[in-house]
Amino acid sequence: MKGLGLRQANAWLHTWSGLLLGWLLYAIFATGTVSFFRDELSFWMKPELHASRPDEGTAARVLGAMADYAPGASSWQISLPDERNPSVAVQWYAQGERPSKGGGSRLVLDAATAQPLQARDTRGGDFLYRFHFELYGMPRIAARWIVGVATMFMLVAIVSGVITHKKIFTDFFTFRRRKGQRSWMDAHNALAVLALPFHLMITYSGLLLLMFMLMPWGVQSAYQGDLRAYFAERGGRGAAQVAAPQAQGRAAPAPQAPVGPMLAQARAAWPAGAGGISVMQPGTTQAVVELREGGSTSLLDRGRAQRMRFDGVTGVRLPMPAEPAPDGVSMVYNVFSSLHLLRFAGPWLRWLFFASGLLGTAMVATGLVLWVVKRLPQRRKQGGHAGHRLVECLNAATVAGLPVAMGAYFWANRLLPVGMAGRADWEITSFFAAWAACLAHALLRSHRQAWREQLAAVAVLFAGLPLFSFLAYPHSHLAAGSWLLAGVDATLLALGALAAAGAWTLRTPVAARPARQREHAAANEVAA
Amino acid sequence: MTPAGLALGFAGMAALSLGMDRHYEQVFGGEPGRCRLAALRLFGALLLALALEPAVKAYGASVGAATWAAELTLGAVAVALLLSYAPRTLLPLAPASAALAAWWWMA
Amino acid sequence: MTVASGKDKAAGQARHRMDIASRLVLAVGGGYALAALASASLALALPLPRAQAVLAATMLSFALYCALAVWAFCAASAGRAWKGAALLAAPMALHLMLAGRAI
Repeated sequence: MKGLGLRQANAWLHTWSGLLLGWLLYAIFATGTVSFFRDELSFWMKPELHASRPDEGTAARVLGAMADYAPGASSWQISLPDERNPSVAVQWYAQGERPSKGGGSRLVLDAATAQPLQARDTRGGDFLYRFHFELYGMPRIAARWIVGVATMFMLVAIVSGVITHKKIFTDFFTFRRRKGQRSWMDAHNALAVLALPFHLMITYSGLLLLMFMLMPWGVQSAYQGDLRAYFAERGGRGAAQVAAPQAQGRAAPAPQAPVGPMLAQARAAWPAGAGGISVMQPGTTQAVVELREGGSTSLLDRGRAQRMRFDGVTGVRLPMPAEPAPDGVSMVYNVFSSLHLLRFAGPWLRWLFFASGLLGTAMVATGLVLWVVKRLPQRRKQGGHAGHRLVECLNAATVAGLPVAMGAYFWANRLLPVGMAGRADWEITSFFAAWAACLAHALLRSHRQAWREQLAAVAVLFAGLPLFSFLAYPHSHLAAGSWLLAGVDATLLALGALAAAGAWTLRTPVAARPARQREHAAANEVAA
Repeated sequence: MTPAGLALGFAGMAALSLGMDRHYEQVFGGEPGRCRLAALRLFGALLLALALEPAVKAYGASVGAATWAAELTLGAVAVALLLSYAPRTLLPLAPASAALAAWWWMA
Repeated sequence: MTVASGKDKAAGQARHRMDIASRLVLAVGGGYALAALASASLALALPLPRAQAVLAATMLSFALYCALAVWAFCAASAGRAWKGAALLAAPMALHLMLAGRAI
């Protein structure tokens, strides 16, 4: 670096911090982008639930049915249907059972009939979501460290990229097509700069979400490492939660107040109405109904959704202590984490962020391709180079191969027999088997062939899924009125078309094309 | 939820791009004067600022700001793609987009 | 400029590699150490309630880490990069020692 200018030093730093973990970063970005729609994807992967259509009477119906499913329970938890998931999820705990993460009994109910539905065994969108920050098949902490380190590399890549970009304002909207390396550079720059606020936010917030694992030294010095004491003092969700009323023995049964008026109050107070209902000691004189806000209107309180409480027998609203507003520092954290997790965003913001995530994924991809394209002339002169060949293969096998793996995952979800043992694991096996096959394919085929064939595979796999849904699942297309499922299908079609376009541009090697096109292409490559 | 913010973001980014020598020549052909470029950039900035209103109105301050930033990003991407594939179409599309946004805003 | 002999060239290359390796160690290892020192020190030093100070210090530490990694490669020489990092680390290390909190 001695004697290298600021720009050149940063160009070097940018290239290496980007390349070394580029494939992992691509996978993290891609699975993260898909995870914005994790609930929708999970629903899409459970066709048995697709007939569920919520209406005005859903909540009352479900509460009535709960009296049959869980008569003596100490509490009921009901997740009401919303635009991300039209089915109803219920959970209950028996008397004396302590609420715990895996405990209690669960059912999924049809919103129209309140009948239990048995969905096929699948991890759904949660597999890709977990992969995003915990990868798969390795200890959670180790995986989070790997992802954390990769995120740090990403942050350095972004900052060094901005420093090294000479004409960040003049080239802001510039994308020169058909100019070989220049085009790839323009694309990489545009994708990075136009969505720079998003990329910076998503990367930094990713670090913040892992911060107590990656950087525990603040807690160490101020609290002697007692993380629990820190959280108690900070007053997060756990600390501020008002304790649920304890049962004094088994109370006497009593008729319950109708939930309709309670929900009406919720609708009046919150834009999205109630998202969930909890009933403590249901069906008794001590019953308390708590409504949880659907979604959240502010990023500042980490989607700590508003709540309302009612007496279960009389229907009278119970006073709840006002939750303190978060302090300034917590607000900053809450904004970052809310924007990253996007738990409570409405459909518009979700689509906007999904599109931005696609831009980020493409940014990483174009960076990886650019590295190869830049060194092509040198390689032509010097012949083969093992390192370059490795990068080429990893590029194709990751940028095109990961979508192939996702396609395989979705097809396994459609085709594997519903009653099969270990079905969910077999879907995941299909994902990794397909990805491994892509790597082998890339090693065996030439660079161009690898890309062309894998992109074609993506096109076929993705575009075939909506067709299959249309034929096999009568509830799952637009005619049946489900925007959610239509959205997933439309996205698959669009991405498949994009892959097809990519495969199409790679269709014939330059040498085989008519003379005029060959000259044109050669001239462009020289200009690059 | 109205796409007014996105429409304004697109129109604003288009105006900003036209306020640059390179893209002005792409779309209009002629040599622009410095005044004209500056005016286009100012107008573009104004439209981008206005785009904040529908977002904040629909979603509140914090969610609205995030929505606005993302709308601006996608508007800019649309402008960049059009400038590359069909620069002349920017001329009808940008004002139409602004007009559409105004209509939504009034409706 | 005289033409470098083969030995000089090899020595130059080795120096260059050492330079990069040194900067790499600073960026990756030194950067983390500095960020850790900063989060520990600021958690005590920031004029905020304890929990908020810890949160603020931890959140800021990543920006510091990134800045140091970039600085490690931008500085005119590896030696300068290390000196700059040491200059930044010294007061924080001192503060922690005085505050009596052993990490």
